[in-house]
Amino acid sequence: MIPLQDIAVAKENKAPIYRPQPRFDLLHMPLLGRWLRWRWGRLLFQIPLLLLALLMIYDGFTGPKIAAQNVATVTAWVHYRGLVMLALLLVGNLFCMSCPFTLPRTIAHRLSGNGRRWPQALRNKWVAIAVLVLFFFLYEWLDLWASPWLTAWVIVGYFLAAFVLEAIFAESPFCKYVCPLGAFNFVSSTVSPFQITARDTETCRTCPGKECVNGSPQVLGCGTELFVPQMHSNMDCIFCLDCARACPYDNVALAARPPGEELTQGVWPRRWDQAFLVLVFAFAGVSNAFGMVPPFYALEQWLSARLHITNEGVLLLIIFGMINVLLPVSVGLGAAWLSRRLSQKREPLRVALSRYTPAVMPLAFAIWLAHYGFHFATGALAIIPVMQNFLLDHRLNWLGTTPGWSLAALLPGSWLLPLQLLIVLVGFGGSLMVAGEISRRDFADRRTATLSLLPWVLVLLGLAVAALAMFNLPMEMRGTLQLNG
Amino acid sequence: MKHIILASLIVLSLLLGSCRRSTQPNDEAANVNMALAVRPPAPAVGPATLLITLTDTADDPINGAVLEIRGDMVHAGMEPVLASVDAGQNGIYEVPFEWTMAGDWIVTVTASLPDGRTVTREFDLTVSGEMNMEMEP
Repeated sequence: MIPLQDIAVAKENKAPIYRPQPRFDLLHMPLLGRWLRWRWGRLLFQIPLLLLALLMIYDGFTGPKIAAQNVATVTAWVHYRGLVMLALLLVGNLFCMSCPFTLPRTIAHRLSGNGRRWPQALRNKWVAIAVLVLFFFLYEWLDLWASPWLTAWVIVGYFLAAFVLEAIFAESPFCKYVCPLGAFNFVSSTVSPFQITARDTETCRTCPGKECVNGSPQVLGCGTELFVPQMHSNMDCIFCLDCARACPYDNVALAARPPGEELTQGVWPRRWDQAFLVLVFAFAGVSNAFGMVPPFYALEQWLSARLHITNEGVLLLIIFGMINVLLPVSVGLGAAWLSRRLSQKREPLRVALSRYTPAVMPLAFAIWLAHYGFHFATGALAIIPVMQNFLLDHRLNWLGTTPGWSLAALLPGSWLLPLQLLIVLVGFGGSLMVAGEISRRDFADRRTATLSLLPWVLVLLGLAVAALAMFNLPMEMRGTLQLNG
Repeated sequence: MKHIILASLIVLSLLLGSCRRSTQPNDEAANVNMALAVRPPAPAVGPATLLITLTDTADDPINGAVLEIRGDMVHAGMEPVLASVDAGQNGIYEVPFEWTMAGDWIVTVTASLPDGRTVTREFDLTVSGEMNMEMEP
């Protein structure tokens, strides 16, 4: 049982709690709503992904060594990434809802019994940020995208990590505090158009059991310990819908809201970790795409020559350490300091930083969407010959006797660059709108509002220009470091 | 019961894995030498020519083989480049090819020899406008 005083609430937030009106509620749609609210509804999403994960592990370990021919690599690096961005854009955090890694948690819970609570000092996003940064580094260093074997190990690693943490701790710390996919999806889902909310907050106020968070004898409560009537963001929500199943009053909605609305409401906690999660997410979007264009290889060679370092791991550590850690920290703090100075507002730097970081989200999301969307658009159909080849490899000709290797692209190549540029520009426009809204919300004086906004406009402009420049460059897919000499 | 199911699943996957055609030894001609050269030697994205040389252990050329060539980018999801050739002179088979993108490539050549044997070799290449290509048979 979780006492209500333990539930995290943004204490500094004086604004009314954000509660979108459930104009359109997925949980009350015919058929779909019943399915989603059904006790085993989530399992029906998870089982196909569990089977797919097992297939990926199997093919990753025993199948073709070439990434383009293996189910593990094609599914993980083409389909998962593309589909997860589309799902986040159109609905919300559907991957966490269907996540197969948490399925063994029932066994783990039995093992843990009354396991300990996740340490107070780690109840924030710092571990998730560190794991996210580490994952992006390993992705580049080990060329995960080129190795079915390593991709299979990554999936095994996820299962193990989720299981071990579930077994040691009584709650579900893996999703909320550790999982890099979760961190990525949480922060992305803040621009998603659907959010869990209470249909009637008065019902929640008088509810004696708070089953949505505490659970009932039949249904678990919220694994990440969110209390529905106080939810003002998709952050930390894994869309498991246990709250909806546990609520005895059918008072939980998965409601539509204008995309990005939570970004302008001032409802985010003013915390360093959440602000830096957004900034790391944004800069990693740039660095992840930067790792595939010629200037990146030129920079690698230049650094190698200047520093006399030939170890690729060290070079990548320097480059990605700068782009994914140093730049977000220095640019973020610099913009916040300048914004505070220009607006002459006496407030902690943490507050100044947290004010405008939500505005970075639309652009950051757009950069990831443009990048992952490119891979999905160029390779979505490749799964057909890969599966044909997989079956033929097992002497099964259910999908034909010859793999159609010419199948790969979903969209004509000539559409891709204009689409990428359009996505980034729309994201940039969205970020400017959110930033403008925030400045008007927090500063009554128009001149002060504009001055406080200015440094962040420059940050957004820099990110947008970097992204546009990168997507304009020819993409290369290299796994090797070519050093002069 | 759970342990039996788990053990059965593991055994089943091992059996499935060992039954795969790709895990069966298919290099029936280990004593055949295959080399790959590329023209132009420092290719950019665009058309190119692959020169595949087949020789036996005595360095005598092998003619009359049928070669299937497949170029894959190292990143998943890219359409492979396929080509084939069935005529060679002095053991050298010339194949028009196209590098569709800069980056790391794996070229897989499967040669069906006149005596019915099959030999497969993979070559790693880097296609870049600025650098020389590396080849590792």
